[in-house]
Amino acid sequence: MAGGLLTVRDLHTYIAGFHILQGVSFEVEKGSVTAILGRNGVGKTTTLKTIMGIYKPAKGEVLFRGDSIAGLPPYVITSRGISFVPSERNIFATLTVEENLRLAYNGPKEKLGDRLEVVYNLFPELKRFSSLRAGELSGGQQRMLALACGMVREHSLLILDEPSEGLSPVYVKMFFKKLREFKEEHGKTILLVEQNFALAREVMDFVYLMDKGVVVAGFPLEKMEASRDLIRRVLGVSL
Amino acid sequence: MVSPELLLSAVVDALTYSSMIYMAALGLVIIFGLMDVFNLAHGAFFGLGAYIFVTLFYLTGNFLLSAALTVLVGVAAGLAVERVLIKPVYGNPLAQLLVTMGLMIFLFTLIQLLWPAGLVFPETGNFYISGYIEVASVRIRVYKFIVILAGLALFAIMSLVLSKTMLGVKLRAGTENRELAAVFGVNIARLFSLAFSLGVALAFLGGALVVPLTHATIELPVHFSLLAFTIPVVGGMKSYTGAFYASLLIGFVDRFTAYFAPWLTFAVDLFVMIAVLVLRPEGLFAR
Repeated sequence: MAGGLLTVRDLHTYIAGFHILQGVSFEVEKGSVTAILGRNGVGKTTTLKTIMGIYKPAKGEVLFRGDSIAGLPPYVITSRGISFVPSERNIFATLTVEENLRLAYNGPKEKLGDRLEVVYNLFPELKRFSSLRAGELSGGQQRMLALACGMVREHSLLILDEPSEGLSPVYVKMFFKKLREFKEEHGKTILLVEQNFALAREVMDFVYLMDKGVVVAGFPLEKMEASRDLIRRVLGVSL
Repeated sequence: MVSPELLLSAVVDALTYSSMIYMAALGLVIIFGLMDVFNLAHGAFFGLGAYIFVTLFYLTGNFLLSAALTVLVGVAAGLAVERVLIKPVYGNPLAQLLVTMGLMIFLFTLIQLLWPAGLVFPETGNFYISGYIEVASVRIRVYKFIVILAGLALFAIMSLVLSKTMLGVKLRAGTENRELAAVFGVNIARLFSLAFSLGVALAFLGGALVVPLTHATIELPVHFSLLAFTIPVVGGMKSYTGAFYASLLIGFVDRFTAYFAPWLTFAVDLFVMIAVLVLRPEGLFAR
C-alpha cells in the first residue's frame, strides 16, 4: 500500500518500563476499512492509544496525511481529523446522550444540527433517549452512543478499538451493520482493532496481523486464503 | 422552650454561615473534582482574599470595585500558581500535598508579615453593608441577607454554567474521565488552568464577601480551611451540587450547636464528617 492516509513506522512504546510496542509498522489507505487483528495482550490497543497521543512513543513515526502527529496531545490529534472510539469507558455516564454528542462534535456550530441528524438517522434509539443520562442506557445502547460520538465528529479517519467486546450477539450484528452503512454512505476511512476475526472479515478491506508487539503480516482481504496457515498460527482460527 | 426570636436568629445565622462555607468550599471542590488536586492552600487563598479586599476597600471606598479587583487578583494568582507550582506535579498526589502545604504555610506567613495586627472592616454607613433591620423583634444585620443571596446566586450560576454551557459540559466530562475528554477533543491542560484559577478566584471572592461580618484575622483562613475541607467529604468529593447541600447541612449543624450547645461547636461538624466517612464514604450527595 502506498500513499496511505495514516502511516505508522517502527513504533516503540513502553508502559511502566515494559516494552509493549516493539516496532509496529502499517498503513491505512484512504477510503478503506483496515483491521488489526491479534490475540489479547499483543499491543493492539497500545498501538491505537499511541497513535492518539495517550501514550508517548519512545521511537518511531506516525504520519497522518503526511504530517507527523507522534506525541502530540490527544485533543490536537482529534482536531486534525482522527476520531477515536476506545473499547472501554468510551462515553460520559454523567452527561446526557445529547451532551455526549455535542461534546464529541468539533465542527462549525451551524453544522451541528445536520451532524446530529446523520447519527440520529443511523441510531433512532439515541434520538429517543437524547435527554437521558448516558449511564442509564443499556450496555449495547452505550456502545451505540460511543460509535455515534465517533461518527458525529468531523473526521477523515475513524478508529475503533474492539467494538464487539462485551456486546450481546444482537448488538454486535447491529453495530457492524451500522458501521457498514456509515462507511458506504459517507465513504469514510476506518481503522478497526478486533479480536473477533469472523466479524472483522465482514467489513474489512485490508488486514494486519499483530503478535508480541509487532505487525507480522499484512494483506488485502482477497489474498487472505493464501495466508491461512499464518492466520491459524497468529489468531488461532481456521478460515 | 426555645423562643421564636431565638429560632429565627439561629436560622438566619445558619443560612449565613452555610453560604460562607459554600463560598469557601466551592473552589476546592472544582479543583479537586476536575484535577484530583487537593489544594491544602485553599483556605489560605480565602484568607488572602479577605485581607486584599479590606485593603482595597480602605483605598477605594467602593465595595463592588474592591470585590471585582479582589477576584481579578485571585484569577492572576490562580493562573500563576497553577503554571509554576501545580503543573509540574500533576499525577503525583504526594508531591501535590507537599507543594500545596508549603504554599499554605507561605501564604499564612505572608499574611502575618503584611498585616500583623489583622484588618478591621470599617463601619460604612451603607445600609446594605452596615445597617440593621428588625424582623419579628429580632435585630438582624442586612449584610447577612446579602451573604445568603450571594451564596444562592453562586449556586444558581454554577448550576447554569454546568448544565447549559459547553464549558460546563467540558468540566463535567473532565471530572468524570480526563483521558476520554482529551480524546473527545478537550484541551485538558487549558481546562486545568481555567479550573484552578476559577477555584482560587472563588476563594478570593468568598473571603471578600465574608469579611464584613468576620473582619480579617489570622483565625479566619484557619477556621474556614477546616470547614471547607469537611464539605467535599460530606457532599461527595467530586459533586458540585453536593457542595451546596453539604454546606447547608454543616452550616445548620454548626450554628444550631453554637446556639443551643456552644461547648460542642465545631466538634459536631467533625463528628458529621467522620460519620459520613464511616457510613457513606462516597459522600451524602454523590451520584
